[in-house]
Amino acid sequence: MKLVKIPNFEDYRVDALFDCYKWDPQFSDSETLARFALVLSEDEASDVASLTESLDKETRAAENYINKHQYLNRILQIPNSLSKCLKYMGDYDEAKNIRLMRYDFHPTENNTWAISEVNSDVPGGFAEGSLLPKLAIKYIGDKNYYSINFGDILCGAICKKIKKGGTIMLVHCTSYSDDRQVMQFLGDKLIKLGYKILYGSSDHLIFKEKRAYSILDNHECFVDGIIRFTPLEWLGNTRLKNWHGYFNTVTPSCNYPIAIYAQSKCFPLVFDYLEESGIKMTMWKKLLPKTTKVNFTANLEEYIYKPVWGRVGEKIAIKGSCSNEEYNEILKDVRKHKKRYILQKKFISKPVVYEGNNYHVCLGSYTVDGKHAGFYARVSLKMRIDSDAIDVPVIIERKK
Amino acid sequence: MIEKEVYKIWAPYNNKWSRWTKIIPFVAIKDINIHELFNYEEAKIYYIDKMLKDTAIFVDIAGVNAIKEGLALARMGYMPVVVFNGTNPLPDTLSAMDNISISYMLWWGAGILKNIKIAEDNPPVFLFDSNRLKSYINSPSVFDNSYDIYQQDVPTYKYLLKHGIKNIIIRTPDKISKDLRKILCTYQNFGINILYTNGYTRPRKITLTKKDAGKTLDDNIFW
Repeated sequence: MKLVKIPNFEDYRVDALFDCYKWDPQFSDSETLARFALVLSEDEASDVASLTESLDKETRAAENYINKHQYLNRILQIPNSLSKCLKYMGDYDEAKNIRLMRYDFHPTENNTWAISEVNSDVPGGFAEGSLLPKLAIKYIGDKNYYSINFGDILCGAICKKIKKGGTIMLVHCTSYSDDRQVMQFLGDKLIKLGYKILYGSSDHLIFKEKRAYSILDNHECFVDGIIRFTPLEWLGNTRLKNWHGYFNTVTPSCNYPIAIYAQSKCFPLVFDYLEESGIKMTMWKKLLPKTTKVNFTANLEEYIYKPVWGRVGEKIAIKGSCSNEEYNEILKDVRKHKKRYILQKKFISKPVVYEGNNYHVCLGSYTVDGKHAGFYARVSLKMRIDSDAIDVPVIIERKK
Repeated sequence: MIEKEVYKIWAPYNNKWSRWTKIIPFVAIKDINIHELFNYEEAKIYYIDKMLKDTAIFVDIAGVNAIKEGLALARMGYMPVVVFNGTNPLPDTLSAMDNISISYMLWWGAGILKNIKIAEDNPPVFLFDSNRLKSYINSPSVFDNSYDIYQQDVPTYKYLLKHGIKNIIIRTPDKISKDLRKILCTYQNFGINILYTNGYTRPRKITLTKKDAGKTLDDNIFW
């Protein structure tokens, strides 16, 4: 694994913004677009792909089991508003929906991989995992590099499950341009494949006899597919009363709300229950650092706190990886809301050195319907990969 | 691609403030009809006579007018930074706000801005669309593209101070919006002076407090 400079960054940046849907290149004082690409060897790429598929097999078996045995929901700390709806998912059919996940891998000091989580519900980075690597290769100009186009693989799965020429609503938070960039990338691709695309928020869908129906102005119609980018735990905030329709719709969805189970950071707390019932979680146990309920006697040099419903690395307490002020604030919150956090053994990330700086890598590895579907990476000078991290295109070097 | 060229004029790569320019109104330029009728008049600036090297400006008025005012301030030497972040609905769908006219004005304004020379160390004028907060929609079928401005959308106080900004003029017709008030409060807490103008009066120093949020300036005299 190495970082390789992208020449002519000024032009690359403009092309990334306009040709690769990178509409959020700045966060506070930090640029979010790396001046380098992350290069994996073919062996590294293939190892991670294989580990990802093993993890995914376990995750899907686990979520199907939990869906039928809902006594585990309590352990997963699923919010009450959502918990009430889970009973509607009894007829969930994996074969009719598109299951998309992204596992976050980290190289560790002892030359192994660790995972920090699965983005089970609404993983992002679609264009960064599809177009940005191609653009980087074009600028680097080395024919020995290639990339995986995540978007092509996802669209392939969509074409298999949503009828050709059908209408798909891309459900997202319409006020956020960084959500829209993900949806716009996918929408533009799907239009080329013959679909009619609607951009709407979660409350632009209602459900009639379990079929999703668009109430978007001037586009009132049944829809044939739902691609959702609004997190499930936000759905409860919609103005409409029948948002639970997402939980038993017969309209093919990506992702169906079954994604909620593995999205909870308490997911590892049910592994023992799952294994007692014959669901093997071997790969998860191997790659995920030991995870327990919050225990105030734990040595915080060796353990970290993570919020159960945290996203993009926010509110993760890693000593030395966030400011003292933030660290103490999180600790205070953990004491106040013990059940909203989990305790996890810290792994020591092995940084990649580039121009004298140590970059910690979070390599996101996608699956679509159980098959590996590409990469998306972020790097940071801190061990915690959060909103200060930068997006880096992942490219693969051919064996010579 | 015309949108890339327009963007490069508004956000020259080497300018230290350009990084905060939002992309989305430029992306939408490819969808507009450039023959639409618009008011081409440039704005007049009444509240300052010349560029103040240690003073940044936040212009928070209707987006189209903010662009015109940004161009007028650019003629004084200010570097305009576009902070419009609204998305567009499908062409025939009702939405909470209109962003297309902003894209059109950016295209039009690029023709003016490309002929104005702004020195690299000149202070910025951040342009906000005051319509962004109109989240009221009368039907759930409307596309809600209203949005807030967050701290991460603008430079931190550290960056501003490092680059010589000691004062910020907030120019808005009546009350300072909640989202900007929060940001300005942070700046103030770290030693940056906040000055207010409604566009016609001379900027006057104000003191923001948390409890001011949401009140009009008329109700709440703080200078």
